[in-house]
Amino acid sequence: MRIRLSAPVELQNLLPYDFKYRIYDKKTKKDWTNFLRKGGISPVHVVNLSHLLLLSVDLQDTPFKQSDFAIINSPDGDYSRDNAMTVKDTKDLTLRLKLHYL
Amino acid sequence: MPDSGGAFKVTVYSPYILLNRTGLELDVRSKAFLGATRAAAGQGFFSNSNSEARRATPLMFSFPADDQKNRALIKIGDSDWSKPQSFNAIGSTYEATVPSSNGRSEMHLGISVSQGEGKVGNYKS
Repeated sequence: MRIRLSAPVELQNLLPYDFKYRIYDKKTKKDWTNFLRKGGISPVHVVNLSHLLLLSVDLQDTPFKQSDFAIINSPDGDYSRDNAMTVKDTKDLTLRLKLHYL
Repeated sequence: MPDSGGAFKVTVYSPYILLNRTGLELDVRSKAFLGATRAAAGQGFFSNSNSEARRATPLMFSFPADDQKNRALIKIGDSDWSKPQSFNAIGSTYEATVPSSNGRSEMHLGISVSQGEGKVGNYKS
C-alpha cells in the first residue's frame, strides 16, 4: 500500500513579482490571505474541494491593484474554472494573467 | 494531479514577460487582428524613481484575447512605433527596425524570444 499526502491545493507563482493572494470559499464565505514570493509554490491546506473556490492576487511593488477573483475550483460543474485572471493598474489598463491547472 | 483524489496545483503566470535591455524607455501597445491598438498595462509608472530601476523591471504583457493574429507595436526612447510584431516564434532572435521621430534615421532593435521558466504550455518571455 502506498500513501501519498498532499495539500488539496498548491499555488505556484511564476510571475516576476511577489504577490499576496486571497482564496475565498463561496459556500462558507470565508477567505484566507497569504504571501507567495515570485517563483514559489505554496500549499493551501485550509480549503474544501467540494466548495466553489475563488482566487485573487495582489502583486507587490507594481502599479497593479488587487486582481479580480477567478474561479479555481467548481465542484458542481455550474461554472468552469477560469483560465485567466484580470488585473488593472492604477490607470485602469488591463493585464490578463493566465492560470494553468495540473 | 494524477491519483490525488481531486487535489490540484494552479499556476499563475503572465503570457509574456518583456525584458528591456536597451537602456532606453520601452513602450508597448497590443493590436488585435482587426482592432485598434491599446496601451499595455503597467507602463510609465516609475518615472519619479531612479531611471535605472525603471528600465530594468520586467514588464508583464498580455493581449486582450488569445489569437494567433495578435501583434504588438513597440517603440524605444523617442522613436516612432515599429511595424506589428508577433511574439510567437519561441527560440528566435531577430531584428526589428523602428523609425526615429525625425523620420531621417532608424534604430535597429534585437529581439530574442525564449520559453519562460516553469512547465506551463505556451509560456513565452
